[in-house]
Amino acid sequence: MVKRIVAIILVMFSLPLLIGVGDPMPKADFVFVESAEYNSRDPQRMTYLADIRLAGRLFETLVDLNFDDMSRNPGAAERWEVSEDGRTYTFYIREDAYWSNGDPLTAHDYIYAWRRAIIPDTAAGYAFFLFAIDGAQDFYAFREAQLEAYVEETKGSGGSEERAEALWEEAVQKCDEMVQMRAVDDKTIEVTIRQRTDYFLDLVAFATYMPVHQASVEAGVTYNAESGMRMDDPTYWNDPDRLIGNGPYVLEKRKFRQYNYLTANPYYWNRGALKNKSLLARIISDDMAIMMAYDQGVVDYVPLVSTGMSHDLVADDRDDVHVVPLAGTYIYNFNCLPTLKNGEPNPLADWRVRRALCTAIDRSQLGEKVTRLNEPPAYSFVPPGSCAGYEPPVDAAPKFDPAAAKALLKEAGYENGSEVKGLSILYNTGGGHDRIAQAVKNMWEEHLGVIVTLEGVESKISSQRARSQDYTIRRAGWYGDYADPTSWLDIRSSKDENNTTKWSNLEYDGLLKKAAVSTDPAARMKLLEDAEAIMMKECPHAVLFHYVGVSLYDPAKVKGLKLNAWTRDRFEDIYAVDRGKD
Amino acid sequence: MARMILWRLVQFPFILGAIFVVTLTLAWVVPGDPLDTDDGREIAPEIKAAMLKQYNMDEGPVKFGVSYLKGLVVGGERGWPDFGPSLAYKEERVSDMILGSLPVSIMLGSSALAVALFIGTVSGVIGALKPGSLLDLSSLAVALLGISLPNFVTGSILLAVVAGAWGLLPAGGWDSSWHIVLPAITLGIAPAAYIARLVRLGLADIMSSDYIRTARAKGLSQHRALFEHALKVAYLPVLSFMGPAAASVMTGSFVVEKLFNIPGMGDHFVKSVINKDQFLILGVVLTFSTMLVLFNLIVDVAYAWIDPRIEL
Repeated sequence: MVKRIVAIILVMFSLPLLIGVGDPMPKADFVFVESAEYNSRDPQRMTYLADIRLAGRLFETLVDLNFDDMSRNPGAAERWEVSEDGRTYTFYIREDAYWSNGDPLTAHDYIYAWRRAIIPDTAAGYAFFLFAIDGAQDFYAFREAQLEAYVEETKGSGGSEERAEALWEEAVQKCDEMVQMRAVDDKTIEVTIRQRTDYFLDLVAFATYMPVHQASVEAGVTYNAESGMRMDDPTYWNDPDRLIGNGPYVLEKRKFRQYNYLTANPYYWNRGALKNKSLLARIISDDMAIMMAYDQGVVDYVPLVSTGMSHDLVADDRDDVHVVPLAGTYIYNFNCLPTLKNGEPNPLADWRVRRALCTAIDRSQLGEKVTRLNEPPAYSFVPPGSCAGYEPPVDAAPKFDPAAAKALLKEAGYENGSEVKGLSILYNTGGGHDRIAQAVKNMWEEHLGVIVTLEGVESKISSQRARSQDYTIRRAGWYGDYADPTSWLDIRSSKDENNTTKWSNLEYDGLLKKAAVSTDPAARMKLLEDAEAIMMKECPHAVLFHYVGVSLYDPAKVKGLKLNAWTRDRFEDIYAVDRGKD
Repeated sequence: MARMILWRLVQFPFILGAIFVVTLTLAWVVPGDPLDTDDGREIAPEIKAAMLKQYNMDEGPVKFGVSYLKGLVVGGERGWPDFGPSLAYKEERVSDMILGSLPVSIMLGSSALAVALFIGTVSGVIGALKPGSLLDLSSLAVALLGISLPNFVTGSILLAVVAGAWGLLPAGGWDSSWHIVLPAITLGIAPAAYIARLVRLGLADIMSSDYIRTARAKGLSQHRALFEHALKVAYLPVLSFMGPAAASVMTGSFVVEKLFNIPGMGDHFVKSVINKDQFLILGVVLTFSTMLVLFNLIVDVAYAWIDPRIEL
């Protein structure tokens, strides 16, 4: 009997030894932390910042955007030309640009990838970046209609993969006709854009415009008989054995939620410039585990410390704690519709009420006392200094002034703040948003007498309620995708799907449209400044502060790392002094 | 016994079917959109529609459920059983995610159970042999702490002291056998305390029963009476505790895995619901249910093996 119990215990102890825990983690020249597993390695489909940062290591765009000074440098293209009207770009791909399997990089690979980004089949989150190209949006609409017609036609009679493939052949031809992008020869790309867009090269430097290796992606393509769609194999992007890139590194090995191991791409044209031969992204989600790994020297660099940890680190005044302003703004969106979801009239429909609320927020308190990261108080939506040539209209912004706030409320017909009813702040739990909401609630109560309630929900629920305008005030944040004010301002135009405030101002829309067709860069910036001034006056959202990022690395040990507002670290330039010796 | 096992196996698909329907319904009605991203960016409605179509989620739960079951029973293009893609990690297959993390959790879980059984049995027996002794009191104190302290506290203390201050063991990760030690202790300490209590109470009860007194009167030493007769009976409640405990411990603990940075199943349970990743929710629930049924079966068989009086 006792023997049997002992037997059970022994078997359980020996199980781990029998199975083994697997291979040890690879050693690398530079090790950094990612707090979550990458969502996607497919450059056309990715939307997350961490993914885009990784993609820049695995794939190379034609233009290389340096986020330190926002200069546009030759990437896979050694040079480019712009036509006089600013609409036609010709890119010349380097002769020595290769894929990681040794195939030459061609113009066709880019065209293939760009078409892939445009079509609804791919469902690329940033497809609209490609809509800058003349005819791209029309082609998207064409393909969409084509697929709809296919589904209609094949209902009952049943479609087939052959039919879906034939449909695609037709679409490819149509794409060549409609979309003004073409491979002039193997190494030359010519693109015509809809209208002069000064930041087009910045878009070309974005992940969505990265090339993909046509032959290996094509190997996984299937056609769906039912929907008529062209599908590629999503697991291709996860598979180190199959994934082929043209960037400075290749994905050598990965383990889901454990690590991504990248080694230098032997075919990369600029391989001599790489400061390290291998990178290891360790995925650690727990704050304490991250700090342990950093303190034990297991990792060299923590790109973004979570808000739960950062204020203690900043308070410690350590040499290895780095605070950098980011190109993002923390905002409270106001529901601007005249009636609320429950049928009650919405006090926030009156811009004076919204502005009064904005005027009653003491922003300096938030950074100093609440988050304790000393974020710069926000007086514009576009963070100052994030776009060259653009001066955010901070004068138009509401500043903290309780008397003025009360006067505005009175003007809007509320003698007393307590008459403004039914407001609540909706925020997603975690990340310290609750404390900010509590502070703002107190400010409104103290300075205006407006009572609001707090509602903390999961982030998915918050997004869903935003979309159906089932809220009055909602926490949000916005980071720019590219260094142009439109990356922020566009989301408040009446038709934009991100405009969940439903604020609609025809003058604002008009100025954005005017700016879009303006050919004079300075005049264009002025138009955008005027537009933002209208936004700041009418307050579709309250801007609270501009984000800062807290990073951890020891400057004596880690060299070549330059933090930037866009958190796009160039890992190929970074190295750790004593790595690789242990 | 064979009949019992057979009967259980026949019931099995029906149990899983019922669980599937309930889970699918719940996962479907929970608010939130699986395709929303965390960074708060809206996806264009037409693109969202295209995505839903790709996942067979465009026409409600019935179409989705049928296509999911098809992949599960018949298998998909990527073999059998195909749990479909993950909605949060669009390039992962749920089958791969589970296959990658289940062995990790089983390993951690079985080590934790071994720790629990070992510590629990030893301190339980000590307590029963010498009630009121210093050893007994200290093992009782440990048991009390083990039950009362949540494992993120136990884990944090172990991490800070053993890995941090003393530097004896690695802090986190899953690279070598040494990495199992701390999380296994963390995870095993609560069930150890529970087992210790069960064994101690059971033994104390049985040692004062008539047949043990008779055996002792016939000249059997206390040790032999305890190990040869009493422990057998006292261990039965431990066994029935072990079934569900094994299933729950081996399918992962979110807290311990997060704290020690272990890529196990626990994370999937929590994140799948937060992300509203229906494919993954169904995948982990079905896996967990299968294991639960399986472990209960194993426990029943072990019952009969340890105690021949029990007929199945």
